[in-house]
This record gives sequence, structure tokens and C-alpha cells, in this order.
Amino acid sequence: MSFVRVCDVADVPTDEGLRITVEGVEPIALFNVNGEFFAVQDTCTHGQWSLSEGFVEDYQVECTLHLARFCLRTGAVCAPPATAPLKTFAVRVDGSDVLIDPAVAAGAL
Amino acid sequence: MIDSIAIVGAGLAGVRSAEALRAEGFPGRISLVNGEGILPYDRPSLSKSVLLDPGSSPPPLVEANWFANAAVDLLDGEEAVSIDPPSGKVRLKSGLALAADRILLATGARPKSLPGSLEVEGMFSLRDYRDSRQLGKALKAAANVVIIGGGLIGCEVATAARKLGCNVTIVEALDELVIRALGPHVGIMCRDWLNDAGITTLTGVGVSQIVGDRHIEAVKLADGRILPADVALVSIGVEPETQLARHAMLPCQRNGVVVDATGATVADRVFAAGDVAAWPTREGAPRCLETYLNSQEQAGIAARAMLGIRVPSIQIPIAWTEIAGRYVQSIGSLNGEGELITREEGSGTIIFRLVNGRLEACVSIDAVRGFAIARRLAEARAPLDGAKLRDGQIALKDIARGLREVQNVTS
Repeated sequence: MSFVRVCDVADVPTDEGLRITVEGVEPIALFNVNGEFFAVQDTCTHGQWSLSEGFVEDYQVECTLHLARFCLRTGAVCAPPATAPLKTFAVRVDGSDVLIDPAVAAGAL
Repeated sequence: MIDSIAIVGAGLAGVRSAEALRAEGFPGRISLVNGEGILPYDRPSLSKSVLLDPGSSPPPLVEANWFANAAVDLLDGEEAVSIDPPSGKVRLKSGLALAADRILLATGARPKSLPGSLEVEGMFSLRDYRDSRQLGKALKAAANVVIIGGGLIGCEVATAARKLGCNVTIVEALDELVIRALGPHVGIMCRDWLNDAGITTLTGVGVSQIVGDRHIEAVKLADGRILPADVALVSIGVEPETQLARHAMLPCQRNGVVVDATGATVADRVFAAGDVAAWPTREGAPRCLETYLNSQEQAGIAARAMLGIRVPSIQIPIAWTEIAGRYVQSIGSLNGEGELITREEGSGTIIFRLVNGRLEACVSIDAVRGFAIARRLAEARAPLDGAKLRDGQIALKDIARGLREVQNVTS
């Protein structure tokens, strides 16, 4: 796959998330941390719950269900009860467009 | 020098403490006594989804290969029969003994029983996977179900039993449901939800007798009423598993093993965490919290303390539950002095308890995003304006941000 436009920069306020669906790919949660964008798998690896609703703090997202925390840069687990990391996705901002490559992990480019 | 650590109990507290020890780089031996003998698992689903599908299993606490990869000796089917604090010896049922520099008691709790009631078929209690599977199977075949005790577990199981099509009655001796965990205010709401779901709730009345010789036929109440029952669950609370500590003459108070805010007992080698530990709380008296998130946090704190890294943490009880389709989260207790303020938050509700203008506790109903912020405000005992809180138009995020700015200016 390649980069696809998923939303406008203004669609994701700072410290918030947006649930993105790209055909043929699992749901993705896109976050804005002070103008920097991060994309991770939307479903928490612990319970079946959307992380796009999660609480963002210190480049981490906290699942609102059981309070597991993940690093938005790497997907690593920062707090239990989750034990498995999140998948990450490459994000690019082009003008006011936010683009994601669902086939490529963050930092892999 | 700490070379070996024995953890007694492979529930949430035991397993999370083993994880924390390895995460801290502890290279020594870790023995984890796992009485149930199956891969350690997460319990919250036992009173919810596992009941609905007895073929399903609760999620594992860690991947099956974690124990081998982390070189943690999982002693399946073993039980500790005694500990000797001065030497650090743990005697096991099989006759083996572990010699440990530190011992963590993570033995949890067991359900309280009604005297003589469990000999009758159709009577259940709920703590482990086996209990959940058996109860789930019985519910599938049952017409009339009586839940004795309207706390969180009772209300959760009632929800599941109703979903399975049973006629369900909850009998609670206190004047309202879930009083201890969520307070009477939320108790009333809870009763309404359960009633709307078709569940009968009887409060302020005790049980006088279980009717039936071999198999339960009915539950007789103190006021003489008789409720027909094929299945009854006794969910009247738990008692911590303190036998090892008591036999070792370690102080126990309010039933739990007395520890400081790092999980340390009075004996240098012995620590406790999770449901068995009477841990210092912000509300005052140390107590067993019986909650998932507190057990998990205590496990990490006690693990580090065993390695000499003391990071004391006074606990604020924090919990979640699912009752009649509502997702409820709480921090602190709504019971106590102060003012209760109800806020409509999105499609849900948050109830705050303010004491002298500071946030002491809150309960959120179907408002997970709001709770993420409210929880932090409660942890900080943030000074809040009741009128602003009541106003659903002012976002909680903005209230929190305003506070941070004030604090940045004044600090």
C-alpha cells in the first residue's frame, strides 16, 4: 500500500484522537500531540475497546476501559493490564492533509 | 543481597509482581506458587462474559511462554502451608520447601459463605474459573435464580443471568444495593437499571433459610417470603486469605495482613499485596481494597520494595463494573461528608463528592472519557467549583486546564 489521505489536520484537536477506517485494514487511531501526529492500531490489546477515545498525556495514550497505557511513538506497553504492544503506522502531514501508510510501521521509513 | 524471591499466589498481584521484578532487572530466582494449576488468568470476566459462554476462557495475565522466557518457576498445583519469616522458608503442600530472601503474600481472598449452605446442590459462590464455569452451566439450565448479596459481583452476575433468560431476584440485607462500593446514591440508580432489565431487587431483608434437601428448591427470607430457586449465588463479600500470615504471627487487622505503603509487613523478609493486604488508604484506615487496579499497583510497589526500592503509595480505591449494560467507574468513595454534585457528561453521568471545595471521589456512568480527567482531578484532590462542575457546557478538560494554569502561575 502507499500513503492515503485520512483527514484534515484540523479534524484532530491537540491531545485528542480520531478513529480512522481505511478499507481492508483494521481500525486505526490517529492522535495529535502538539501538532505531531501518531497512528496506532485502534483496538486495545487487552480488552476490545477503541483507543481513539483514550486519554493522551506525555506521548502516551491511556485506554479508558481498564487504564492500560501505550507509547504513541513506538506502541510499547507503558502500563498494565495490557501486555502486548500496539501496531504503529507511518504518518505524514502534507499541508493540511494527514496521510497514513497502513502497510508501513512508524519510523520504518 | 537478594538472590531469591517466593511469591505465594499467582493471581493478578502475584503475576504482576513477578513481571515488575524482572522489569527492574532482578536476576535472581523467582518462585511463583500457583495453587489452581492452570495458566494464571484475569478474573474480571468471570462474573461477566465467561458466565454467558462457559466454553470461553478468561484472558491470560501473561502469554503462556512468558514464565519460561522470564525464568519464573511456576509451581503449578502447589500450595504454601506455612512461612517462617525469620529464615524466609516457605513450606509447600508437596513437602518441598523454598528458601527465599523475600516472600510476597499474594494469596487473595475467598468468598464468604452462608453457614452450611454450600452442601446443597445449586448453591454457588464465585471466585475462580472453575466456579464461573459451573455457575454459567447451571444458569443456562435454570429458570429461577436468587442472588444473595447485592454488591458488585451480585449485580454483575444478575445481569448475566438475566441475559441468559432466567428470572432473577437479588436479595440484599442492607437498605440499598452496592452501598459499600459505590454509595447509596448510585445504589438507587443501579436498582432502577436492574429493575428495567427485568430483575427483581429486594433490599433491607436477610435470608433465613435455604430450602431443599439435596438440591436447592427455594430461598426463605427473614420476613417469611419464599423465593423459588434452581440456582442461588452467595455473593456477600470476601475474606482475605490470611492463614499463612496469622500462623507466622504477623499482625492482621480488619482481616487483612497489615502492611505499610510499600507493602512491607513488620517482618523484614515478608511483604503482601493485592486483596490480602490491609494497605494504607487516603481515606484513613488501612484496608483490603478488593479492586483490580489497586492490586495491580500494589504488586509493582511491593516488588520494588522487596528489591530495596521504596516508593510508598497511599492507595485511593479505583474500580470499574458493568451492571445492566452500564459501564461504571469509580475513584475514592462517595460515602462520607461533603457535597454530591451530578454532572451530565456526554450521554453519561459523573457524580462528584466535594469536601471543602476539593474533589475527594467520583463515580462515572457511561462517561469513560470524562472519567479519565475526573480521576486525575480526584487523585490531586483538585479545588473545584461546584457550579462549574454541574454545568455540562463547560468541558472537564477546560476545567482541568484552568487549574493547571493557576497552579503554574502560583508555583
